[in-house]
Amino acid sequence: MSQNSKVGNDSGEEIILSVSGLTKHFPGAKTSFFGKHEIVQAVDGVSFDVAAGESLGLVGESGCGKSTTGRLITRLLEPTAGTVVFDGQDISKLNNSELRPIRSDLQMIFQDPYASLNPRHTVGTIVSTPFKINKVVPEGGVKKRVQEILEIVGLNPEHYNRYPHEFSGGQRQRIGIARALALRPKLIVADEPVSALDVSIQAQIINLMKDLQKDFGLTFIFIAHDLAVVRHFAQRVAVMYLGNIVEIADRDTLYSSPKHPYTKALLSAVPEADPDAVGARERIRLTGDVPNPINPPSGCRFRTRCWKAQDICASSAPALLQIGQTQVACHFPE
Amino acid sequence: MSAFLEVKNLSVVFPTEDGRVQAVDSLSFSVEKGKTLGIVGESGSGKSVTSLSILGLQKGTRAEVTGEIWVDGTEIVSANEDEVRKLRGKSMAMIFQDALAALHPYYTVGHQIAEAYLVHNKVSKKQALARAVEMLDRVGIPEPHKRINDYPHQFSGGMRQRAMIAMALSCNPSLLIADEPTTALDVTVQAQILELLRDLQKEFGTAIILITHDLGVVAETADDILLMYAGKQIEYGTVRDVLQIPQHPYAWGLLTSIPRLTGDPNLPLTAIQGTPPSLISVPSGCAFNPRCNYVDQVGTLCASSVPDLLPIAQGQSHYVRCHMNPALRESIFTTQVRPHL
Repeated sequence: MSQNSKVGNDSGEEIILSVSGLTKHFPGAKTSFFGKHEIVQAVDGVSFDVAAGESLGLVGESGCGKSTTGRLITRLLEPTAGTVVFDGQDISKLNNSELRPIRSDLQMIFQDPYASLNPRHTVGTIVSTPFKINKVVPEGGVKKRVQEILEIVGLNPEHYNRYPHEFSGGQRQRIGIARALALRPKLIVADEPVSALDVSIQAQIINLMKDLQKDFGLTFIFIAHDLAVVRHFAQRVAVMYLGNIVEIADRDTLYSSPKHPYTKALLSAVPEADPDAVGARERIRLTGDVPNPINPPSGCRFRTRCWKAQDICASSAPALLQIGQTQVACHFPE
Repeated sequence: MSAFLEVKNLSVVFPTEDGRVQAVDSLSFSVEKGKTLGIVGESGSGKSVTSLSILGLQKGTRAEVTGEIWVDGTEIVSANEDEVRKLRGKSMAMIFQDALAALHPYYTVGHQIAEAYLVHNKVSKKQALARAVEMLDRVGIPEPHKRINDYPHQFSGGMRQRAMIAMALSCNPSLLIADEPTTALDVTVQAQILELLRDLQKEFGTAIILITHDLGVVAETADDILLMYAGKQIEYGTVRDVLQIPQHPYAWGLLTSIPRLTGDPNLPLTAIQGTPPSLISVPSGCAFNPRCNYVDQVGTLCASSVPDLLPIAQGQSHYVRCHMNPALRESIFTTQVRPHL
C-alpha cells in the first residue's frame, strides 16, 4: 500500500505516519431481542501516508468517518482491523500502558473548546498535566515552561491560575492547543479545531496553527468539513465518503481538477461570499442524503447519489488508483 | 406602510442580575414581499433576539421591547398576545437551526404539520393531514403519504429540516424567518435546502429574513444584508454593495478573514484582533473601536461617541455606522481591503 500512496511527497521525505487498511466497526442496535448487533461500518479500509512536517486535510460530510479515523490514529479508539505505523512502530494493537510513552508524540486538538477542558482545573493545571503524566521535568520547572507555552499560543502567562470559564471560545481553543503542544509532539490530530468558533476568531486560530507548524516542524492531520478552511491549512487533502477515502491529492490538484464525482459535487456546493461567483460557477446538486453506514450501498458507496453510476458501480467497489497526480477510487473518474 | 415588514427603532433590553443587557439597539430595516434580507453577525450580536421580537415571542418574558414592528399593517410591539398569535403561523412563521429540537419527538411529523394548519384554517382533520402530505411532497420528501406517520427521529437531518420548512409554510405565511436554517447541515444538503427556499419564495412571494453567520450563504440567497455588531446595525445595503464595496472596518475584517476557495492559501488570513464584546459592558462610543485597526486615523471620536447610521453618499441606500470620513475610507478600502477580497 505504502508504495502507491506517496502522492505529493518527494520520495526522500520521511514518512512519520503510515495508515493501512484501517477499519473500525461499531456495534449498533440489536436486530431483535435474541438477534445480533447491527454493525456500523464507520471506517472501512482507509490507507494513507503522512510525511514529517506536512499537513494532511481529511474532509467529508458528517458520518463519513473522518473523526473516527483521527481517533484511531491517536488510539483513543481501537481499530477493528488494519495497522497504524507511527514513527516506525505499529501502534494499532498496543495496550494503554504500552501507548503511554507514545502519547507524548501524538496529541489531539478537539472541536469543542467548552467540553474538552475540565472546568474545575486551572489553565496551569490543564497545560501542566501532560508533564506530570509523563513524569517530564523541563528545564526551569514545569510552571515556567507552561507559561512559555501559554505565551506562544497568544495567551497571557499571568492567567496561569484562571479557570476555563473565564476565557472566550477562541482563548479556550488556544488553551487546548497549548496542552497539545506541551510535550513538543511530532504529530497533532486537530479535529474540527475552528468550527465551533466565530468567523472573526477562526482566522486567528488558523494563523496560529500555521505559525506553530512552521516554527516547530509539526505534522498535522487536520479534520474539517469546511473545504475552504482545509484548503487554507493543508498541503494535501483526502476526501472521505461513508468510511472510505474516495480521493487524495495535493491541494492545488484536488481543488483545481477534482477527479471523483463526489469531490466535484462537494466543491460546487460550497457557498462563496462573492455575488459575482453566484451563478457563474457550475453547480452540481446531489439529491438525497448520505446513506446509513449500517447498510452501505454495494460496490461504490457513492453510487446512490452519483449521476455517473453504471451497473459496474453496484457490483464492484472501485480501488484507490493513481491517475496523474491524484489517487481516486472511481470507475469513471473525470 | 409600503414595505411588508417594517422595523423602526427596535430595542430589546434584558434586565439581569449582572446588569441590563442591551441585546438589540435601535434597529431599523424593512423587507418587501418576495425579497430576502440576510441578517449577519457573530454570536451575541442580537440576530436571534431580533427575530424573536418580530414574532412577538418575547411577550410575557422580562425582555423590554421598544420601537415599532409593522407586519402587514399590524404593529407587533404594542399588540396583545392573542393578536400576535393569530398572525404567528398564518402570516409569519419561523424555521430554526436545530430541527430535532424544534420538532416534538412524541408526535408524528404529519400530526405536527397538520396541527398548525388546523389552528389557522376551518378544515377537518382529514383535510389538514392531506395538506401535510401535500406540503411534504412540495419540500421534496419521497413517499409523503407514508412518511407523515413517521416520528422525527426516523427522519435524517436534511429531511427534518425539510419537514420543518413544510410546517412553517403550510399556511402560506407572507413572512418567513429562517434562523441559521442550514448551519447544522452538510454542504451538499445545505445547497439543497437553500435551493428549496429560493424556489418556494419564487412560487409564493414570501418575504424571508435569513439569519446566519455564513457570508457565503447570504451571498447566494439574500437581496439585502444587515450586518450587526453588539446589538447595533453597523452596515446595511444590497448584497452586492455590502460584499463588494464594504464600508465598515468590521465588514472588512469579516470578509478578509474567511478563507476562500480562490484565495492564495500561502498568505496568512487577516484576522480581526480581540473578541466580540460582552453585552453587559459594551465598549463606549463605537462598540467595535477596541478591535478596529483604524482608530488612530480617526481620532478620539471612536471611543467617545456612537456614530450614526448614515448613507455612504447622498441618496444612496447603502448605510454605515462609522466615524471615518468617506475619503479616508475610500483610500483604505482601495489599498488595503480590495486586494484581499
